[in-house]
Amino acid sequence: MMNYSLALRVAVFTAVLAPVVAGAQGAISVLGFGYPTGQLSTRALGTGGAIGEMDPLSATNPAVLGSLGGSVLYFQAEPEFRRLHVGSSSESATIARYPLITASFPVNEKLTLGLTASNLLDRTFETSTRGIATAGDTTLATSNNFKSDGAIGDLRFAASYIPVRWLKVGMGIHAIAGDNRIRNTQKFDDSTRFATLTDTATIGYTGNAYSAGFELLLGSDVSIASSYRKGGALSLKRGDTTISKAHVPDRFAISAAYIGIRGTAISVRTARDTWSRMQSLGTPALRATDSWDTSVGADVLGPKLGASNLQLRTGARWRTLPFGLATSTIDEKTISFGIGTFLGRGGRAAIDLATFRSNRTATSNSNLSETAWTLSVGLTVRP
Amino acid sequence: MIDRLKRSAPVAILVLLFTVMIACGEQVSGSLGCPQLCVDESASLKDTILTAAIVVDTSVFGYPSLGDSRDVTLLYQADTADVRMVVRFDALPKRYTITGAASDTAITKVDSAALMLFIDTIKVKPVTPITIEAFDVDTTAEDTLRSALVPLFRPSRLIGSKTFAAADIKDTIYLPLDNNQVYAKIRDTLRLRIGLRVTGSSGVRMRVLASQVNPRVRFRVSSDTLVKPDTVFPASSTPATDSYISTALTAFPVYAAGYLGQPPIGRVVIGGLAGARAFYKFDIPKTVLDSVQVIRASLLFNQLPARSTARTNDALTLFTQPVLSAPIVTDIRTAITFIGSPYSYGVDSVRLVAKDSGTKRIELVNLLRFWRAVGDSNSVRAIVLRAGEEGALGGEINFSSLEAAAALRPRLRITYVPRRGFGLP
Repeated sequence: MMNYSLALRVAVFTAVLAPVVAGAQGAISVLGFGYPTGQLSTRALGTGGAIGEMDPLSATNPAVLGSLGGSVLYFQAEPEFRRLHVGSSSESATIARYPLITASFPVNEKLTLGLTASNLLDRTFETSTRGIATAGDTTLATSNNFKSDGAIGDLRFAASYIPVRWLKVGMGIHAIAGDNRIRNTQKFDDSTRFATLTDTATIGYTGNAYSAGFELLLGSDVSIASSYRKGGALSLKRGDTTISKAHVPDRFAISAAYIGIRGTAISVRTARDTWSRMQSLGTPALRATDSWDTSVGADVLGPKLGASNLQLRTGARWRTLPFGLATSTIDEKTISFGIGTFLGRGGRAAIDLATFRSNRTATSNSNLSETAWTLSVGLTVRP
Repeated sequence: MIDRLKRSAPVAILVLLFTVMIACGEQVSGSLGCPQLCVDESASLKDTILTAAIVVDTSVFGYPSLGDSRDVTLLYQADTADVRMVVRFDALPKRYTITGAASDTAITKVDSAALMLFIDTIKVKPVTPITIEAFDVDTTAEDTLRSALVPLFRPSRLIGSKTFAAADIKDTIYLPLDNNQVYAKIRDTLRLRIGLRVTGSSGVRMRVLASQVNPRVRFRVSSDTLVKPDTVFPASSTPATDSYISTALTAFPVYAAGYLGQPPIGRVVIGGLAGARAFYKFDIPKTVLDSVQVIRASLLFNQLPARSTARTNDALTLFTQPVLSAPIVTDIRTAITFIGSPYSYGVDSVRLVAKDSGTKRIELVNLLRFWRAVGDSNSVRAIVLRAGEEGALGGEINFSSLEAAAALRPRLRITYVPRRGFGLP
């Protein structure tokens, strides 16, 4: 038991303390307020997100928490290896993300409570450029560095209730919080006369949202699940001063799955996020776009691996990223593969792995594109 | 179940370690996508000149102070500059001991007497022949006064003289002294106080070290080569009531000519034979220091050709040192004793030539940032300009002061960035 506890503690400790980081701005996936990780678990991501609304580990549908059937702790890590293409040139980046932690606590057979911490938008990046500044009658060459660390997080407290075997309903309340720690450095080539200009600021985000969802079993072959998140007020602060106000994006999502084969789910999902509700949070130059996020995928029972069954997953996903260039939105197409199995007998711990290949393109600028391999690792333990 | 969990834990830890390793190898910096994908957060720089930022400027003389250094640059430039030196040997031996002898013996003769001098050929490199003269400058008069000492440098008191070729002046030289004169001092229990003067072509100079190494008098007391030469080190017996001053006076300069006092109205001076330092006190508006980010602060001076003709080709290194005394210290000479190292406050030195003129500048941006950090309740916002060659070179840097015409006064040029919001996408 001690070793198990140690693993659990390491997982939770790492999740809490590790920096939540995302790609560099200067990449097309991380514009505006950042990259939306999707709040999906590794299992769901293995299917391209198609089973997202039925997946109790994901942070989307509160109704399906009850599917966990007991106390669960879940931790997810997600490194990404990305390459930005500008014309014939390219530049690579390595990003580590820890986008999801889920904990659930069954109250009784019908009621389950859960707490989920997830990244709504990652905004960690660093860019280095050369520039020209003018001071009086002097023109100066400068090296500029801009860095942002942090994210907007979504802390959800949810309750799932199972009134009848074929129906699950749930509600969640969301605290939207986080910050971007920003540092702008401007070094002048003539460093003997001009001191380095360093600006630092912490931009804080505070908001709330509510969500509700259900999962409906139609016979024993079909499952339909849907959730809706209603975004409340969202404010951006620097210190105690409110800089701007907007709203947390609403989201409507629905999944439908064929589950007529034992251990298998073949699913389709679509979601609509109203990211434009964040428009007034940024500068007038911000381009926030309401987007669709659609995926198809399958989670099938695979061969046995030792004493446990192996789940095999694959899927495809199409979505528009929320923040684009001035004249262009960013589309993302993803193909994913995943596996999952229990560790040891009895299902006390499980591991899910997924890898996905993403292509991101600017709709009106063929000169810009981005490709990425992402590895997602999810670890589930049942204390 | 425990066995199962034990089997599971290592896998979980491995997975976590893997992800942590990925995180450690993270590389998020990029520039390829700029400027298309980057936000331009570069600041717009503002530039202004504060003409009233300096509220006090003055020159203070007499540095290095007595006792701070005993190194002296002997200088001869006809009537415009004449720096001499006195070395005191107030404790001469009267007896000597032969190695292995049971008792010592009275000194009855002196032979091969010489004054051994250590020369700094790095700061001041002789380039022409130099004649060094040694005089007996012992007197019962107040012998730290220029008026008492200078007349003693006369032929009747000459006890040694030698001309050295420039190439012969290395780190150590020996100036022969009159054996009889030295013996007479020993015999009659008198003080040997030697005044040194250099002569030669105009502007000839030589720097004698007497701080870390001491000049010394060497002589033989016997023709027997088994008897080692005797060596006498500097010592001062006066003033008997103050050992610090008496120690400082073992070697000190005498300014026979060229020691200039306060400059005329409209000038501030630094360096020179008089060892001047310039003191500047600032009154910078709070809005400048507290409300903006200063990225350049140039103290602009109007340099004037040196008022004297002594060593006008000398290039001096000017150090800017912040005054660290509290505002309660209002006496400038006292405040100047509390100055910080320029290196600790990131203020660079500048090198100026005494005869030059025109606008010169000293960069103070790091000091202004320091002043902003410490506030003005515990620290005075003032600086001292000091020549690195203080006391070593005769050149003097002259600046227009606050009493000069408005266009020539010192002023502070500030380049700054106002406080701004940034970082929003």
